[in-house]
Amino acid sequence: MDQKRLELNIASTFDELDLAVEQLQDFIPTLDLDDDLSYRVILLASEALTNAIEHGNKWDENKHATLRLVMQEDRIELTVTDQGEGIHWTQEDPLEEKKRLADHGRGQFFMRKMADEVYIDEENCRLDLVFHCIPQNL
Amino acid sequence: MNFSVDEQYNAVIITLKGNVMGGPNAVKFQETINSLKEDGKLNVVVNLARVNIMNSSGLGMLISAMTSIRNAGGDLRLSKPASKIKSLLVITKLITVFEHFDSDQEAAESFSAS
Repeated sequence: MDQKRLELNIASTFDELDLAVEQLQDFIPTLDLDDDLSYRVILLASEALTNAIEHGNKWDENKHATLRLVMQEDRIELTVTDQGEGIHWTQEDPLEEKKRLADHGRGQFFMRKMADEVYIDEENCRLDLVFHCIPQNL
Repeated sequence: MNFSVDEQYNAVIITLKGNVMGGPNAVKFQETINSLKEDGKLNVVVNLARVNIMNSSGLGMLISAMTSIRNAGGDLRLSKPASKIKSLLVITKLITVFEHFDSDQEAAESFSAS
């Protein structure tokens, strides 16, 4: 099958983040995925981009974040990069009683829970998420 | 995200629409919560029926608002969370923290029952 892909390059502003998520919401239905997978891809893309802009680029409008989404035969590969000083991937557990009512700290938790594979290249500020899906040619 | 504020059933109903991901409108949302507290309007229902995506920033916005209202002696309760948003509340164990209902009316009337 032909690869379907989406590539975005955005400045580190909330408006561009918002627009990027809207573009994803327009693009994902063209992949003919089930509702659950569609939702997970869009949600985790928003989490990854938010992390890139907020924690990586620290809202510096001169720095950009990129998103590349490629649909392979049996998987969706989502890559997000930023221009920060390295990804700090925590193992914080927001389910701990004392953190339950924290107003932050759940983005990475969602990615760990909802993506099928997670790869972090801390030095190169690159995050890869993989979602498994049923091969379309079956 | 945008939102509207209405008063019904002796409660304030805030209806969120679109993608709830933090940002400038989350600040406006918190300002609205602060105004409600100043006015002594502490029975707050947040209707989620028209929310498309709520990510961790949006969830953080709701938690801040709920904590703020509870600290003032009131509560913030949810109405009509879609199944996907409910599942976020489940995996974060926030489902036990937020009271949630199938309609604005049920949510609002729960204040008089409590």
